[in-house]
Amino acid sequence: MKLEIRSLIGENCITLEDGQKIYDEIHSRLKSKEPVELDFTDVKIVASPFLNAAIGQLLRDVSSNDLNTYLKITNLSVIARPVLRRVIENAKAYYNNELVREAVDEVIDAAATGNNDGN
Amino acid sequence: MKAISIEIPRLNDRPNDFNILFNHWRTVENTKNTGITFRFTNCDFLRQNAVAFIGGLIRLAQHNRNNVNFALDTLQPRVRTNLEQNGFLYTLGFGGPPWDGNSIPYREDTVYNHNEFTGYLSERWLGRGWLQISDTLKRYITQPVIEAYINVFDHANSPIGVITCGQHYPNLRELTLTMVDFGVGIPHTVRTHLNQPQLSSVDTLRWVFQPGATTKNSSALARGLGLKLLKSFIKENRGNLEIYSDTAYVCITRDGENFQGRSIGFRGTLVQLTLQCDAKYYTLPSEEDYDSGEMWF
Repeated sequence: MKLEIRSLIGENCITLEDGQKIYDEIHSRLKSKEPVELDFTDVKIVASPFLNAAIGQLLRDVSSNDLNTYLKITNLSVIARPVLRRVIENAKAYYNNELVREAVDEVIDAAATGNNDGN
Repeated sequence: MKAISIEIPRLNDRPNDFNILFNHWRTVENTKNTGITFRFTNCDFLRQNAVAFIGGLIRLAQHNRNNVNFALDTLQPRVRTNLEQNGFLYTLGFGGPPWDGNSIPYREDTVYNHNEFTGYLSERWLGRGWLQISDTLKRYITQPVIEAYINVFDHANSPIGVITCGQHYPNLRELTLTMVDFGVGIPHTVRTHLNQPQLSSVDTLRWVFQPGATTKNSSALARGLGLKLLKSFIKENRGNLEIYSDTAYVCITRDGENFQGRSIGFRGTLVQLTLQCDAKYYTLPSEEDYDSGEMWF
């Protein structure tokens, strides 16, 4: 399956919500080892919340090996590539290290329990 | 309660100028249901950081149900011209629309609109011929600033949204942009998130730049890259990034990071970027660095 990001989202891919739309399209396919291509032709601005949601969170339950094999990312602009690299590094550190994730989640849960301001 | 008067002096962007602004914030924050007059009798210059902050003070005063009076007759002609040119007065309901000059228009975002803000950065900040740059380089500069904008709406919970103003300084060959919000501030967000109320303001600011740090309660998602990406961009491209939040301050340049605790602060965050107006200072990632068969994961 090939997804043209420009036609699905627009020329600016910024928000978590837009990233989630892409994730929802591709996650189950990648879990079942179906090839997916994300084509970023004519996308101008790409921000980390979008990439965190669309791609970073795939690392929660899809292996790096499977993502390298089945997820093809094409025509991503030179300026967005460093952002994607940082997003993937960050997601790997978070999802691949159970101890880090549990520690972070514990802190988040504690903060969430004691605070309802949403921050 | 008796109506009060706030006298705005000449304001630049040195530490004492920020102290004056932050003291005014305290006054406005604590004044509700009365009258506030902003006066400019002894003001012969307002830098863009002051314009953005004063705009925030006016909106905060209105938010606190005060009757706000802007003493136009106290504005010196030069200051008035600047505030007309950058659209500050127009936004407040005085005079005609702004015109092109060395100011980057004054802007208020009370609701999140990344497409409009992206257009503002691209056309009104970078698109005025001050930087002879390609569209790709323009987008390269816009991208990390958008990250800072997202941060405000993600974390700040600001009653005034975010206020932005910029300036081109042709003699210095610099381009600046200041973004202000009066939300909860970075220290409060970090202390709450870490459940460490005793953490100093400056330590909270250090923390947000640590790898993996994020304050969002979304444990299913790894996040928290916005300010780190902005920092990397500034360091790689010889810019200057300053952040004031609560009593914390940091200045980031290619040469280092200077974190300081301040005696006077405000609740909210002010981010100020200074860029060089010369394309030679920018290191655009190269096509040659890219391997078409890159193993991303």
